[in-house]
Amino acid sequence: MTDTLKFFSEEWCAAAAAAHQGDLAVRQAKALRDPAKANYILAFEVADRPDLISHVEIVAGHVKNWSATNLYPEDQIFARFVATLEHFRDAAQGRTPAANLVMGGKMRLAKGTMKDAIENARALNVLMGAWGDLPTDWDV
Amino acid sequence: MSHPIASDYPVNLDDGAEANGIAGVVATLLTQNFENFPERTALARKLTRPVSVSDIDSTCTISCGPRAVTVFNDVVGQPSVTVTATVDQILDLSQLKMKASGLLPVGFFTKRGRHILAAIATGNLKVWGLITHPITALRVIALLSVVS
Repeated sequence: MTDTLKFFSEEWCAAAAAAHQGDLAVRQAKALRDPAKANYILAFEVADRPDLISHVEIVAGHVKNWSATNLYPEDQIFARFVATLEHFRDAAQGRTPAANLVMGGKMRLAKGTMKDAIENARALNVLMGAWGDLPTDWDV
Repeated sequence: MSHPIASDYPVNLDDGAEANGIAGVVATLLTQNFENFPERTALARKLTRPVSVSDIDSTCTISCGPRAVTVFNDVVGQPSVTVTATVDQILDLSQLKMKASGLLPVGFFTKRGRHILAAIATGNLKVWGLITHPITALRVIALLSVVS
């Protein structure tokens, strides 16, 4: 039995959602441009791995739901970020902030606007940077 | 007076699928800015010489023509303005409010703007051509700004 969670598994998503409480949730909300109006769903996808997807529902700047299986309809997705597993790992483990990956084109904004990505870049850094604290099995 | 239609002023990536990271991001940003702020196509047409933007990893050159914008990998031609910045600085620059086609840079009088000016003054953010082509430099910032 392993104590690590497969990246973007349902268990991993549950752990990620549970981690976004307390201080982390406060930091997350503060990093948003307008936390009160931050009600949207973000999609994260590993490039060329259609089996590795997760959707995060943010309500008033806070993570409400996170799932790899109970995915939202396409028309509800506000923004989609697509990157290789290595780049997701870079962001999670703090080697390269997520915003740098987006602005450098290594994490592709496949849906959504650059305006929203730029204005909320620091929140994305907080969101994905926190993944580094999860016991993640990257061998997926 | 009606504004021009953004689709009449396309943004082309010269290197297509081989475009480097910053070229792709700048092209996406310009495309979306022309959709959100169609009046900026007129501003783009005023940029008669290329400008280049660099982050740590890569460089692109923006060349605005009368009918379209082309974004190239690396430095192409002789840019009148070259911006070399960190990603954080590019994020800050693109959130500056600029009025009057960039000639009234009100964003520089904010906390974020003062932070950028300090970075320019200390050489942490390099804007080559700022002295010799200040209007072009301001227009580039206005073009890339996501703020209305």
